[in-house]
Amino acid sequence: MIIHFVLNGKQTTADVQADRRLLDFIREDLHLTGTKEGCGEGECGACTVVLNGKAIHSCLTLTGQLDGGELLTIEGLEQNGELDEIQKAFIKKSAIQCGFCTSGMVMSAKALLMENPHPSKEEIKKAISGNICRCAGYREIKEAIQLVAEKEEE
Amino acid sequence: MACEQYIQPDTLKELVTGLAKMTSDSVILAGGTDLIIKLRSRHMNPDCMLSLCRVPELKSISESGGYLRIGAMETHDNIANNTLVRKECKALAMACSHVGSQQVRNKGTIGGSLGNASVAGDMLPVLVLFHGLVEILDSAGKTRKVDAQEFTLGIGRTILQPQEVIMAVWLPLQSHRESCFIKLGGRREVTIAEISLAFSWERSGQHFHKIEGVLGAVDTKPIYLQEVDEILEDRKVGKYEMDLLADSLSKRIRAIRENRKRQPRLRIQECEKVYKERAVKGIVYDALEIMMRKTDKKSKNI
Repeated sequence: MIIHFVLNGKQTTADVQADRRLLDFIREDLHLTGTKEGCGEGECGACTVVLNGKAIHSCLTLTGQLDGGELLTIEGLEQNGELDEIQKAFIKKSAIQCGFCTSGMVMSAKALLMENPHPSKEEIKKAISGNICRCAGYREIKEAIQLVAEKEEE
Repeated sequence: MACEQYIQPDTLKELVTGLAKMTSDSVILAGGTDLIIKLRSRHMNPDCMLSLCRVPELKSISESGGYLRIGAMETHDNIANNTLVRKECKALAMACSHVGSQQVRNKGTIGGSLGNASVAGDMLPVLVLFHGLVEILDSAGKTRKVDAQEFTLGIGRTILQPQEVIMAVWLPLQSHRESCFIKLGGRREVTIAEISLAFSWERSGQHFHKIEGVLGAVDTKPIYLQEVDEILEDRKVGKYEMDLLADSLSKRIRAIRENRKRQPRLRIQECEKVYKERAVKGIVYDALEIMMRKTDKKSKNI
């Protein structure tokens, strides 16, 4: 199946196996390995990407469903060699330890801030409740997102 | 998981043509949040997969002839944030806003949830509460509407035939009524209902009238609660009424357990067997507290 989509801001056309998971397509065909597979069943959020402005699980999406859509992966956040505000904030607040959950966590945060630039603490908590971190802890992660939310307010 | 044919229609006409190719081994892909897990864990290889994500007629929330029509492919997130739904069918917005995680709500759809027919699903109890209808499209291009109560046959089974698909759900508009939905699960967010409870009512001062209630996730189908109105009608609700209702629901859940012929698949402890019939008290208290709050219908907090 031929699909047309926007990949990290770039119009793309690809001949894909439509019933393959989007996660496998991203990692194995597009070679964008920043997106991780954790549980593979929508519990951990490690595979989160932003599709049409919404955070989704790439492990629970089929490649065919990407047709006509706009996909943003962790690789698309960096602009002209500069990291995204959220990435910078994660580094500043030491919100990363092993890093496996980070790309999913950052993408959930990105989707939240795209829709709601000034989320409350509760809204931040709810937005990342589908992302599981087993080492760094959520406090630093929430602080990092909060930092961006407050920065944009200035 | 691999399917022989993947069909992704762009129009309603193409969808009808696609439906004609479906067999009992085919599957319909809505959001995919349940289906993809099922196909992978059971190593299923369907002969045909019909993906609905591109058909515009399946997406939209509108008012039509005294009903609120919600397209089957509307996501939980869209429904939860829709002004019309929040105003007219608050219980549905409340239920949608607590389905899975944000990622699941962004992708999971109301039609997919109904078709999946999990007994712990949050959509069907609400539909039953509102006496909603499920609109079904067949491979001849004809539609029919069935009562939400009749849509599910049991665990994972619905009245849908292989060449049929859910088009939309229809909820009668009753602006003078208020409603709420609450569920009890293992954790606060990203949780699956162990017990769910939905109420709708009319309010005059501190009293409630024409109260309806539905209990979900305790049996193979949602249970319409006749006794809610008998216990709460025209009363100022206090601890006595709360306990009376909790006792009544607890007895219902016990009866379901005692009448169950199939043994539970998991080995469960004695205390776990009676968990729901005890825990229901908490959820009754919570639901009635929400009812008693004098709510502003436009309130953003749900």
